Amino acid sequence: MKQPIKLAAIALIALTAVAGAAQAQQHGAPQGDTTVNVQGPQGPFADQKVMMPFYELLRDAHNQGDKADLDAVETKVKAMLPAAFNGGQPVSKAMEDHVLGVAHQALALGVSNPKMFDSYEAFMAAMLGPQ
Amino acid sequence: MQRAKYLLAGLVLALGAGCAGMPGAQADPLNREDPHVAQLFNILRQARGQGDQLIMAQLDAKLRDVGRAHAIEYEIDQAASEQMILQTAHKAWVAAQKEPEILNSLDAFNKAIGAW
Repeated sequence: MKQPIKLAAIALIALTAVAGAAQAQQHGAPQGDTTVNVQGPQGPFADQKVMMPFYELLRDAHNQGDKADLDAVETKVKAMLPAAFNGGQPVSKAMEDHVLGVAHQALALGVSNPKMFDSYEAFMAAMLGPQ
Repeated sequence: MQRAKYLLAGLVLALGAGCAGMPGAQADPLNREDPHVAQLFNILRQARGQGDQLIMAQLDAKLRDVGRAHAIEYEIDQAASEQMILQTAHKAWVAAQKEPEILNSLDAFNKAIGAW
């Protein structure tokens, strides 16, 4: 597994784990000072209901190669965030930027590792690494 | 006359260095694990895909937005961050015209921009 995406995934897991609390703080994510156990339960990040649309969106963009409409992808990712990570409430700009960064890393790594988009399981394995 | 020649030579060297893409003082190399590197890579791939339809002003606006996000995430000056992202992306774009494979993998892109 590529190290960058693993780190990004860990960061996203951490983000997700504290999403509710982080949103209550002005600077809660991603550089907030909330301590989380990234080895613990992975919360919504490991929840297929949350991650399947994320995977499908990135897979479709991946399949379009350099014709992918990144603006549309980003708009759709942003639209997913409130329901996925904050109980329907808007998420912070910093959190939005951070999740978009993870999405971009997944897309970028998929260029030379297209198999990671072959299935949801392959995608999650690439995002999370060996369990 | 001699002094003028030295001044001229210095100017030519400075211009040459600029054209060769030598990093400027504010062009700190990006970390290869920085998600904004992946974002730059994707944006430049998309720009390549647009071919003749590419609008540089729109590309630069997107790059500035990456610079803004980079500044927030790393708590650095926004203007300097935007400038650094723009400069890095423009250099990579020019390089990719000669070596298209730069945009065929994130690893190749990282090497091309000198990400550490």
